[in-house]
Amino acid sequence: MALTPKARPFPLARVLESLAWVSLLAAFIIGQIAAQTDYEALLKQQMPDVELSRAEGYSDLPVVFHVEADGKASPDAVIMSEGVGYGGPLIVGIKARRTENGARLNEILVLNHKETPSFMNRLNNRHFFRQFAGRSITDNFIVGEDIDAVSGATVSSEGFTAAIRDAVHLGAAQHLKLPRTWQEPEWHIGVNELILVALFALAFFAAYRRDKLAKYARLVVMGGTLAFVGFYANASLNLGNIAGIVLGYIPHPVQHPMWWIMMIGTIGSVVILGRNIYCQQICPFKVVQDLLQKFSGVQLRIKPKIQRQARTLIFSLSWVALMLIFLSAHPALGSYEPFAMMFSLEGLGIQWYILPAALLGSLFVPSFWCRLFCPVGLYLNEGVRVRRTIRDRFFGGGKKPPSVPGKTVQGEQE
Amino acid sequence: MAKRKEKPWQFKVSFALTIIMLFCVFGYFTQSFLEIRKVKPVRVAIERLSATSKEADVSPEATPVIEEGNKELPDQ
Repeated sequence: MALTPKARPFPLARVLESLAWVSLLAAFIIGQIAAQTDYEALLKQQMPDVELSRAEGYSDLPVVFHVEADGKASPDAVIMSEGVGYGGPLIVGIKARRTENGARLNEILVLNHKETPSFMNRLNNRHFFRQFAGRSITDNFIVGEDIDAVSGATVSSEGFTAAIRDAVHLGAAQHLKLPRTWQEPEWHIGVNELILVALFALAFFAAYRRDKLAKYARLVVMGGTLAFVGFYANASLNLGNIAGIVLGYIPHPVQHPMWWIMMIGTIGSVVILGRNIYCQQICPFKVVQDLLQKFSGVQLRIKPKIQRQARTLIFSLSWVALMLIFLSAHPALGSYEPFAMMFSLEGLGIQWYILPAALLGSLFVPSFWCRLFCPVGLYLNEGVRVRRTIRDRFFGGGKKPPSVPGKTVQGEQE
Repeated sequence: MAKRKEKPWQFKVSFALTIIMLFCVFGYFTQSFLEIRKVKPVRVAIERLSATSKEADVSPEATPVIEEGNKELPDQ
């Protein structure tokens, strides 16, 4: 009897996966084309009472505009400049008014930004922009010296200050020909950066040791990350950060060294060490969940089957989120994580309902959010898995790193 | 016949929370999508410092500050 070949089942999962990748690529291209905004027209629209004409010699940002009002040349000048915030690039328009000794800052327009709405709310509610009112354009405009950052939105504060500083100093030097009396910001490793490096160093130490010292180190990291990464810097990683890298929103290391430390520590631990140190120890939201879980004393176990389904769910959610992010070229629009709200208590719309549900869930299921909803954890764990596959396939395997009991996030991975 | 094991109430609550969160996340996506559909390349947070005062009165102390944070710009 002739054997009939067994019919292969239709590879639905593979087709869906391919479609997901193709649609993400299409969304990225469409988003990039649609994001080409005519900021000059926008600036003119925002200042309808005056006529703006671009000064000669400025083809790219920052750009200086001459101002005319009622057909007469005005002593004002408008400068448009770009900075980089936590979410991506931001564009500001500055209007400066000439005085006897120089010029003063007269008006600030935030023309575009990619910041998380809660960060922006925080800047507005704390009157961040008010401190620029009437300042001389030859001031330093350096955060920590003559400008105060808003805690919980320090990177955004730095980004806006840098954009404003670039604009006014350009106007002062090239347009008004004023002497350079201001200081340039110097690159230096501050206390914040040292704390973050120390937290990562302690986390690495704790991940590879199983003695009493490691236990204390984990406790220090727990407290430190909750206070510093969470409440002070509000710098938890979210899907927007990952998508921002894809979109090319990478801040300058001099301007945002903390972003770089966070990324090098997180991605470096995955690529070099094959460990997801961020989710295990640095994520402050995981610490909050662990504390709640300790408080309740309930530990419901998630079955492996449900965990696998949750993985599919997170991939699906992150696909929708990434489509939104790529189409809008705005990383904050798709970041559904409640981290920023948790640590700044500033949130928008329906996101407010996600936070209490996540916290309540973690009373019963350990790392409720991480296991069932967190895209960052899933992608980092996927990174660990891919690294392990590459190592096993091309380098003949290696020594398995010691696992730390009770520190597993997302069930099956590290 | 083996008696079916009763699931603890915490399991039911967690399951309900998962469903609620799913709705919330999709609600957030809808909210984001509506934001995108407004096709406002520029929105949120315009903070205007007074442009009305005289040149001599634009010191930080004398400048009346008009804040228009989170004000949306008109459509393009």
